[in-house]
Amino acid sequence: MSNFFTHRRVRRLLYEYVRKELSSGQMDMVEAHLRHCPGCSAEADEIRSAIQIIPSRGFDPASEQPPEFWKAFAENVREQMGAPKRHKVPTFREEWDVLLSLLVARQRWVVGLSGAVAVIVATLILYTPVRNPVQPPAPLSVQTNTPQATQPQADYMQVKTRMGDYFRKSRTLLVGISNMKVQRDQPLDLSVEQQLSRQLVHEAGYLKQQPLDVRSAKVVSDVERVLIELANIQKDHRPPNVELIRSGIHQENLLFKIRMAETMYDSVYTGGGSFSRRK
Amino acid sequence: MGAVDEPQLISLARSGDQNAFCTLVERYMKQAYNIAYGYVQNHDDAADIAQESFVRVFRSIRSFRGDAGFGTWLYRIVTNLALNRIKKRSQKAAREIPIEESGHASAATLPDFGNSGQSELLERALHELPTLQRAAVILRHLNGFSTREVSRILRCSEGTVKTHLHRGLKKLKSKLEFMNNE
Repeated sequence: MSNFFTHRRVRRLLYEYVRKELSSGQMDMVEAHLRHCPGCSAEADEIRSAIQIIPSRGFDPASEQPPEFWKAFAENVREQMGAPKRHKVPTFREEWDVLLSLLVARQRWVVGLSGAVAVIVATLILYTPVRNPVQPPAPLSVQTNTPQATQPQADYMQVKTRMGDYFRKSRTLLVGISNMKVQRDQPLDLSVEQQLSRQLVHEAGYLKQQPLDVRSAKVVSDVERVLIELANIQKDHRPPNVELIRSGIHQENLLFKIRMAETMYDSVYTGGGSFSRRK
Repeated sequence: MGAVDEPQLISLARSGDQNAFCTLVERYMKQAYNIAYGYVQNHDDAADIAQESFVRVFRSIRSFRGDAGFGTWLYRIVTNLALNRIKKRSQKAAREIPIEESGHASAATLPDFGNSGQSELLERALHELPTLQRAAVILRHLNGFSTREVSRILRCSEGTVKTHLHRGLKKLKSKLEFMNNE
């Protein structure tokens, strides 16, 4: 045990021993130990060779500086002593350096923080549809007429309704004209029919301004032409004038066309909702 | 003021006497510079570190209790600033692409160890040592401080200083031998 402490103690003195900085008593003690201890002796040789390679004397870089350097050095220190303490505002580059050094020094924290951020971002992405639900699908047809209907839908329904009314009233009027019993040389009272014709012509003017399909627009125009003739019959109401209108209705096969169109627009009412087919 | 002893200068400096402190600066500036140079191996950085150390000492000299010597306190600050400078420099160098032509520039700033052929290798080997071993070698071997002074500067025991010194010297020797054989 005492040997161990001697080794340890001697080895701690080897640097001073090699440099001859120990007291004479210590020098004698170390020398006596080295004579009998090859391990400590090898250690001493190693330190000695290291010191020979690494010269300690001559290390005086301050001596390389001229006297002016030291004068300026002292003056610079004096100036900085008198100056108020600098609260240096770090530049972007310095802050970036600090940040990078933190990232390098705290790699585990950076990995953990990055993972947490990734989880949060993924969660936000996954739950975004829940926070912004998909808009309900647009109605497949215009058959519903609910209070929540939008304005374009309401206008469309109104046009459809007026088209149906127009065709139904026109059909009724023209069927009446077609079935009217006419006696030759007897005047006819068509004032009610003519008044209704004018109203329908006025309605046709409105309907032709609406975005109708080609077939419906043609039927509206054909019916309008007959209605105009009816509205313009002279007051004597001679049967030949009425016959002309009848022939026009038959030649154009107008009642069939009206019935077909009326069927199409009547489907608006039979699709459910608040409309019902008006007989 | 050259005849005034150090405790009196310190006392005057603590009372705000800048002239007294400047006398202390003149006494210690070369040694502070040498210590800093031992770490950073660069005249500009050594001067910068030494000046900053003096300024810091002046600003906190009122809290100086005199437990350790003024020089020990100053050199401890120099050592800390130098090690911080080296740490920042190494972190910065690790992120930047080295310039090939820098070899000649660094050779120009090497200390003159008496053997110019070995100086570059010695610098490289010295900077490959662990921090405390390098500090022990620089302070104890290059700057010539006693083991006790080094232990106070580094705030460790004398035994620790000796251990770091011996390990540092042996490692330095083996590195130099390896570099010479390359």
